[in-house]
Amino acid sequence: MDLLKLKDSICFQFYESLYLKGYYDKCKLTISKDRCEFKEPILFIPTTQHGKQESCLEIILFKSTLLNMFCTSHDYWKDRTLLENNNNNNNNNSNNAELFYNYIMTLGFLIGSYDEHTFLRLHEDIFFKLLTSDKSYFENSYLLPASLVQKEIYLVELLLSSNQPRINKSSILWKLYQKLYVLQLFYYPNTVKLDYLDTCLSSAEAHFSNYYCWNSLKWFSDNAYVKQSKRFSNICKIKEFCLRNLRDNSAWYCYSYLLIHINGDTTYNCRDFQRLYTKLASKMGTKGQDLANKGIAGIDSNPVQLDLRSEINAVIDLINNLRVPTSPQFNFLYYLLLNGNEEHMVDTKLLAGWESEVCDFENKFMSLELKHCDPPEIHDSYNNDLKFISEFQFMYHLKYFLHKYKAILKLRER
Amino acid sequence: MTEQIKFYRDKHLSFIESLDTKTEDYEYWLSEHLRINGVYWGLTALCCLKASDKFKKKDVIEFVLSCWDKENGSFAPFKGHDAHLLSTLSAVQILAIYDSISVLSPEMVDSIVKFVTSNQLEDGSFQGDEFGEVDTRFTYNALSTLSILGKLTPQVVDPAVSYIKNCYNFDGGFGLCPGAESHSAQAFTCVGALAIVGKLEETLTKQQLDDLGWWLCERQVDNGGLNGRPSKLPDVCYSWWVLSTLAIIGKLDWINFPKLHSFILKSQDPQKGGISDRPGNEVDVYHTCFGIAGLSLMGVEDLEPIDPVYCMPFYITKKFLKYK
Repeated sequence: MDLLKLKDSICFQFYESLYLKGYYDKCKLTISKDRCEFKEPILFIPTTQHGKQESCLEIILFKSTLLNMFCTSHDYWKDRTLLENNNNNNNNNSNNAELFYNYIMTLGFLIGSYDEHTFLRLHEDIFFKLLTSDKSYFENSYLLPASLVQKEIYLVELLLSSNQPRINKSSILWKLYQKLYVLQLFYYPNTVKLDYLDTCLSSAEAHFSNYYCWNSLKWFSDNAYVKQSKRFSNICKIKEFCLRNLRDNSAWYCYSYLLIHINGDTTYNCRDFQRLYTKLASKMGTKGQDLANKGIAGIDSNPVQLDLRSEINAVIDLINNLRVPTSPQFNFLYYLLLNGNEEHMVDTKLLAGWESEVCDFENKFMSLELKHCDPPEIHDSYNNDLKFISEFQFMYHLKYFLHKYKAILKLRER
Repeated sequence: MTEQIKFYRDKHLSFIESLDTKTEDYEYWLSEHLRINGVYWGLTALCCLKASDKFKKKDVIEFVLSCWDKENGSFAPFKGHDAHLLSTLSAVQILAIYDSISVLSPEMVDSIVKFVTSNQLEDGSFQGDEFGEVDTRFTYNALSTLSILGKLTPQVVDPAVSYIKNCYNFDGGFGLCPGAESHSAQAFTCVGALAIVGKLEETLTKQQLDDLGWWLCERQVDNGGLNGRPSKLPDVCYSWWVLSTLAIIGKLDWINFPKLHSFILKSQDPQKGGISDRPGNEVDVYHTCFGIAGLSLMGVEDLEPIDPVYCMPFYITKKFLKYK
C-alpha cells in the first residue's frame, strides 16, 4: 500500500488537520463558498461565540475542498474490486494499513454526499473493523484525541452541528450517532465523551426545526440509561431553546413530549435502543444482554419532582403576553391535555377569557370562521397594518385551539 | 392585473431529457446514490406529461438491471452500490411503468421478496437496509414493492399496519416512528401504505381522518404553497406529499387549488425548464416530478391522471392485483 499517496490525498489532509489543530472543547464546522484570498483547503479560526464567554474554534471547509474530498473518495472506490477486498478483509494485522487507508477514503462521502447509504455503511463497517483490530496503529499520539472512538464521535458531532442542511439533517448520520452513543455507553463509559444534548441543540440552532435532530433527542432522552436528573436537565435546556425560538414546532413538540415522558418510558425508543445494542454486541464480538431485565443504571436516590402545572402556566403566560402568531405553543398545550391528567387541564376561567377575546375581535373586526381551504382573508384596509396582521393570525390560532380543546373536553365528559 | 404564468411543458420535457447527459458535472456524481430514484422521478414526470417515450425504454431497463446487487439480492441505486428499500421500490416502479416486470426472473422476484421481508422488524416496522435506520418511509417502500409484484401476505401486512397505527399523532399527522413529530412526507407514506393494503378505513376512525385532513390543509400558507410541518417554508414537493394524502382520504377539496397552482407555476424555470422547491431556486428532477404530479392531482394543465397511492399513472396501477 502506498502510504505516501495516502498522506498526499485531500481526505488524509482533512483528517490530519482536524485532529492536529481542530480538537477544542467547543468547535463549529462551517462549509463556505470558496474565497480566493485563502489558499489553504481548511481553516481553523479561534473565535468567541456571539453572546457567550466560552472560546470556540470555527473550522471552515471550502466548497472546493468538499468536492475534492468527494471526488477523491469516489474515484478510489470506483474500482469495485477494492470494495470486494474490504468486504473480504480478515482483520489480520498485515492489512491494518490498508484498512486505515480505506477508512480515510470514506470521509469524502460523509462530507460531500447526502444520505449516501452504501458508503456510510462502508464507513461504519471499516470503523468497527479498526476497532476490533490492533488499534495501536491508528491511535497516533500526535493526533488528538488519541482514542479512535473519540475521534469518530468528534467527527460525527461536527458534521451534525455544521451549517450544511443536507449534512445536519441526514437521517442516516443521526442513526450512526445513536449507534456511537450505544457504543460509548456500554464499552467506553469512562474514557470517551459523547454530549448528545449539546450536539442536538447546536444542530437545532443551525437548522430551523431540524426533524431528525429533534427526533433523535427524544430517542436519547427516552432511554432508561439516561438518569432522571439528566433528563430533567435536558428539559431545562430545551425549554431555554424553545423560549428563544417560539416558532420552532419541532423544539416545542420535543419539550412537551419530554415533559410527559419524564420517566423515559416510551417503549418504541427503548426497543430501538435494544436493537442497536444487540447488533453492536455482535460487531464487538460480545454476547448481548436483554436490557429489559437489567436495572436502570444510576437511578437517582432523590428523584426530581417535575411540576408540570407550573410549566403549563408559564406557557400560558407566554401566550397571553407575547401573542405569537403561530401554533407551537398551542400545540404544546394540546399535547399536554391529551397526554396529561385532569389536573393539567387549562383553567375554565382562562378558557372563558380566551373565548371572550375571540368574540370581541370578531365583533370588532371580522369573522374568523374555520374553513378547510379558505382561511379568512384580511380585509384590504388592514393589509399594511403589521400589528393587526399579527393579532389576526394569533386570534385565528387561538380560535382553532379552543375548537379542538373543547372537542376533547366533550369527549372526556362522556 | 397579475401576469398569467404559463406551464412550460416543452421546457420541462427538454430538461428531463437532458438529465443523463451531464456526466461531467460534479452534481451528477454527487447524486450517484440517488440515480435510480432520479430515473423514476424523471420517468414519472414524463408519464404525467404524456411523453413517456422520450426516454429510451431499452436503455432504461438495462440501467435498472445493472443496479442489481447480487450480494444483497435486490436493487441498489447504482451499479456497485448496496441494495436498499428506497432503490428497490424505484426499480420495480420503473419496470412496472414500462410493463416490464417480466424481465425479472422468478428467482429475482423471490430474492426481492426475501430482501424486503428480511428488513421487517419484530414490531412490524421496516429498516431500509442492514444499517438499521427505521422510518415509515421504508414501510411504504416495502408494501408498495410487494404490492406491485403481487406478493403481499398477511405475515407482512398485519404487523406493518399495527406499526403504522402506532405512528399516528395527537395532532392528526404521522411521524417516522411512534412518538416522532408529524411530517407531511410521513403522512403520505403511512396513509399510502394503508391504502395499498386496503386497510385505511378499518385502521383510522372518521375523526382521525378528519383530524389528519385538518392537519394537512393547514400546510397551505399565504402564497399558496404547502409546507411539510408548522412554521416551515413552503416547498413544491409537498404539492405531492400533502395533496396525495388528501386525495387518498377523499379530502382533496380542502386545499385552495388556484393558489397552489400559481405557486407551482411560479417555481418553474422559464429558461431551462424544470421546477424548483420554491420560486427563484435551482431546479432539480425531484421537485420537477412532484410539482408536475401535484398539478396532475389537481386536474390542470392537461396532464395524465396519476394515482395518489402509488405515484404512478392510473393506466399502470389499475393492472395491479388488489390485496384482500
